Amino acid sequence: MTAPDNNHDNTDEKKKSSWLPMATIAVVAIAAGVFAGTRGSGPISSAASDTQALEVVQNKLVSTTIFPDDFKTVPPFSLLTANNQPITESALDGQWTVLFFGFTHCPDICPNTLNEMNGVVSELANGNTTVPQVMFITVDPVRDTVEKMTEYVNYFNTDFVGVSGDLTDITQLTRKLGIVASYTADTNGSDNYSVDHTASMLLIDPQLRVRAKLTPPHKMDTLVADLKTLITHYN
Amino acid sequence: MRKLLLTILLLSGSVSASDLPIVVDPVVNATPPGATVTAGYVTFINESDKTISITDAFSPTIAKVEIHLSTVKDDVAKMEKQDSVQIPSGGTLKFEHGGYHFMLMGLTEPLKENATVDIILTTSAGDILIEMPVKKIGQAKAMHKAMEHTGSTKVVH
Repeated sequence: MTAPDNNHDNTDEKKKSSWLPMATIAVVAIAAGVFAGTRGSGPISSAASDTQALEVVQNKLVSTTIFPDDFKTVPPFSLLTANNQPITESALDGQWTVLFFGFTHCPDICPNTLNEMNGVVSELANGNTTVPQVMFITVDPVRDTVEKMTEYVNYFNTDFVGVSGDLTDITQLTRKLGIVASYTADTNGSDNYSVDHTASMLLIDPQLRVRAKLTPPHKMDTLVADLKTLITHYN
Repeated sequence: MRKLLLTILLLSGSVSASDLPIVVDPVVNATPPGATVTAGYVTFINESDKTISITDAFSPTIAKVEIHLSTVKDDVAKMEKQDSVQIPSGGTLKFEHGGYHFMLMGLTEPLKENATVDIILTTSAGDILIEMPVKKIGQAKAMHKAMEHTGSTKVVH
């Protein structure tokens, strides 16, 4: 009676163990549902005035692409955050969130972006605009443990949320959100690999709808202006 | 060991200082706890009549230093190791956020503010020792505005 279950587990284990070396040694591109492909495929019947309203807001934005109302919703996920506590999509419920995917072995783009975001949230708080929570999800959970992610984001701002988890679970989430993460081996050694990843951040509304893509270069001033425009528009 | 190494470098070069690039505003980002990598930035000015190639970088205190280029193409952030970079004659080369940077790898403890990292570059005009101050991330720009062209620099010759 237990035999079939065991076999099943073994198969799963094999699948998992062959996954990781492939991710680290070979070049594995995980890319699906990239924004360009899905954008503009909204319902044809929706009123032209909706599109016009979007265009009005879009024209005010400096470094952000706004999405139609029905563009995409954050799917259910089950990952880990500080103190190894589970975190799900409900953590986004009822508040605005800026979602950023990256990794701690990233010396340039990720830390600079988090540093800019630290400036952004204090600027928004001073300007009486709703302050979004900032969530940094690793695309490199093999090296980025939850502890590491927590320490890392807290260095920039203790309110920032660091998220790690199972590689498979993170991949499912990035795929559904159209976030790209591909692993490039360093020719000098298999322990050193880099992760190419989507540089944009996603703005998620309190109903978990993906409202906009904040595009690089991420500069405090433009982020503040665009977030103010968007959050004020929808609130 | 480190001192010995630097002494040897100080004695071994034989190029004239005027051929070497001028090094402006060197800075290394302090690291969050747990981070094993960080970036260093600097501006090079080449007043000589020859292109200067930088072909290698190393530090006596950091496991590995490489020259990398950050790019964002089709919204994907990438880092690529560069075998060499060129400072054009009469021109400048900037190592800056979102572009070229020194990639400092294999950190075993956090790099704290006010520390200094020595980076030694092999260039076609001779070796250069750059003393790079460690600053909190984002401070490089502020510093640049406050103190123009006063980076702590030493030339090995």
